[in-house]
Parts: sequence; structure tokens; C-alpha cells
Amino acid sequence: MPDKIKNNNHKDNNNNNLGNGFRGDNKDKSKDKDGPIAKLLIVDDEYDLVHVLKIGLQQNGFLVEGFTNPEEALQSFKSNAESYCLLVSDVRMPGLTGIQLARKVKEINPNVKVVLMTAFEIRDDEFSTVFPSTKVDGFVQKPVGIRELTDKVLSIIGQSKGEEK
Amino acid sequence: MTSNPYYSGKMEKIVRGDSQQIAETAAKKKKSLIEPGSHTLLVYNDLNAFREIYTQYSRALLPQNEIVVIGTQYEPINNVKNALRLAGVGDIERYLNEGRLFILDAQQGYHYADTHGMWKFALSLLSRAKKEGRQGVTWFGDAGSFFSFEKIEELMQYELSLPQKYEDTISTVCSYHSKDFEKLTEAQQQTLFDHHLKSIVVE
Repeated sequence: MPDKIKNNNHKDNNNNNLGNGFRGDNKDKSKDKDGPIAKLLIVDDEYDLVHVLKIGLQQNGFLVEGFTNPEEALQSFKSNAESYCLLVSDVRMPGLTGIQLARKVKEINPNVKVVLMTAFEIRDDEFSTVFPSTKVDGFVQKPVGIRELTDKVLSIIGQSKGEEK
Repeated sequence: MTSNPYYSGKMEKIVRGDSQQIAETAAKKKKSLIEPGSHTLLVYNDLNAFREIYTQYSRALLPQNEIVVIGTQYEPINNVKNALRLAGVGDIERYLNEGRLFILDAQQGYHYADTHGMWKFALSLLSRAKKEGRQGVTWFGDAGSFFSFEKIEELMQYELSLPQKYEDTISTVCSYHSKDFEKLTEAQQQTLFDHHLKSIVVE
């Protein structure tokens, strides 16, 4: 199974209606004339999930790099840290957990936002007591739909833009 | 798994093989790699391998009137249930309802109360097993959460607090993903191999 989920080469299209969350067709909107909304890094040790989320988020206008191996995701991030806007990562992964990945990513680029996904119970104090200095911008409970994740990502990016102003 | 053999000491204590070979020993009572009353170390190289081993052992042990506990770290509880179902482990809901099968979040067990919370629970099950005339308790516990929380010293203390061999009919299988296990120093790996009665390395 490849550790990196390769980009699909969808044809360009001109539909840039991004305001309504999931748009329901299967075209890659990340190559719209106005360019992608943002570049995302998706990491989960489940290949199928990364594949589905990557395609769904691309259809919703994001540029997405997907990995099943968090170490490789980190290497990719290091090579182009300024290009990423947000990390979406599973929490529980062997070798390098989502929170450990988030900490490393934020050390490299503190502006990157982080959304963690988990299929387990989400406890607010779970990591905040252990890793108080690592700020997580959002959590989502798995199984997560494309619409829900898109809304989450858009709201966090929106807040981020607000903060910049 | 890297070519690093992890350990160059008492090699006879370490069994190596692919997950299928290891899982097949579940059905061979006299050749079972998880001996009754043993504290066993399992290093698995991917989740499919771990799944194959715990499902085949559950499939063999549950009909023998054994209580089986699976402490999961990387697979949600429902996925574990599905894996057991797909592996042909009889009536999962009945086993769960009768308290003969437990599927727990290992992270909660090890960290949300105290590190020995899981162990205390295992002992309470052992006591119940005796009262109910069960064969014993077999426990698969993934140690991954110690790595998530970066509590390696606690992990080592916990492991060393358990004996190599139990005087009772409880068997514990301390399970490590190889990516976690490789985060331990060579000395720590060696200590763990030495401390367990047997070590199984899935290659």
C-alpha cells in the first residue's frame, strides 16, 4: 500500500462556488481559475480514509496532500512548510501520533492550523494536560463526512483569516 | 520491521514468524505460543498482523471457556468486534454479554485512572473466572498509549512490576506495534525481552 496518496489529475473547471460546503459533484475544484482555497495535509494510517477524504476535499476546492505514514507526511511538510495552511490528522497512529505530528508541524510553521480526528472518545483534557503547549484548533469524531470536515476546515481557516485582519 | 534483530541475547526466548504462522499456533493447544500463566511480549509489524493473532487466539480460546480481553489502541472497539466476527469467532454479542469477552480502549485503561487499572481489572476477572469454573483469562493489551503520552519510564515500571510467569491461570500478551517498540532504546528493548517469559516478533 503506498504511504503517499497521489494527486488525481482531474480536469480544470470553472465552478468556484465554495460557499455551500460540499458541492456534490465529483470534479476537482482545487484547480479552479481562482486557485485552491488552501493547501491541506491529511494523515491517517487508514489508506481508504485518506483516499476518500483527499478526493472529497479536492472536490471542495482544496489542494490536498495525503499520507498514511506520519513520518513521511512530516518530511513532506518540512520540504514546503509555508505552503500548507492546515493539518488534518488521525490521533492514534503508531510511531508518531497526531498530537506529536501537530507539535512538530507547529514548531516548523506556527501558523499552520491543526484538526485532529479520532474514532475514540474525545476528551478535552486528554492531550492538553500532557502537551499543554501544543494548540489543537479542532477535533472531529470519526467516522467523519466530507461535508462536516469541509465545514470544520473552512471555519478554522475563516477564523485564521479573521485573526490576520 | 527493520533488519535490526532488536536483541542478541537469549534468542531461544524469541519466536519469529509471519502473522499467519503465529496465529495458527492458537489452534494447536500443545504448541500454543501463548502459554497459560505466561507474561508474553508481542511485537507486531502492522495492524493486520495483530488482528490476525488476537482473532485466531480468541477463536480458539473462547470455546475453551477462557475469558479473553482485548485492549485496543489503534483500532476502534467496533472494528475489533468486526474483525472477530469476520474471523469466525462465534456469537460475539453473547460472549460480550456473558462477560467472557471484553474489548477495551487500552489508553483509557492505562492512563485515565492509574497505570495498574488494567491489571487490577484482569485480577478481578481472574477471581470471577475461578468462581464460574472458567479455564482462565487471556489478555491482549496494546501498549501504544505509553508512547502517545511519552511515558516510557512508566511503561518500563509497569512491565517490570509483572512477573514472568503467573502462579495463576492468567496469560498476558503485552503487544507493541514495531514502530512504537523501535522508539525504545536498545537497553529498554533488551530489558523487555529478558523480562517476558516468551517474546513473539512478527516479521
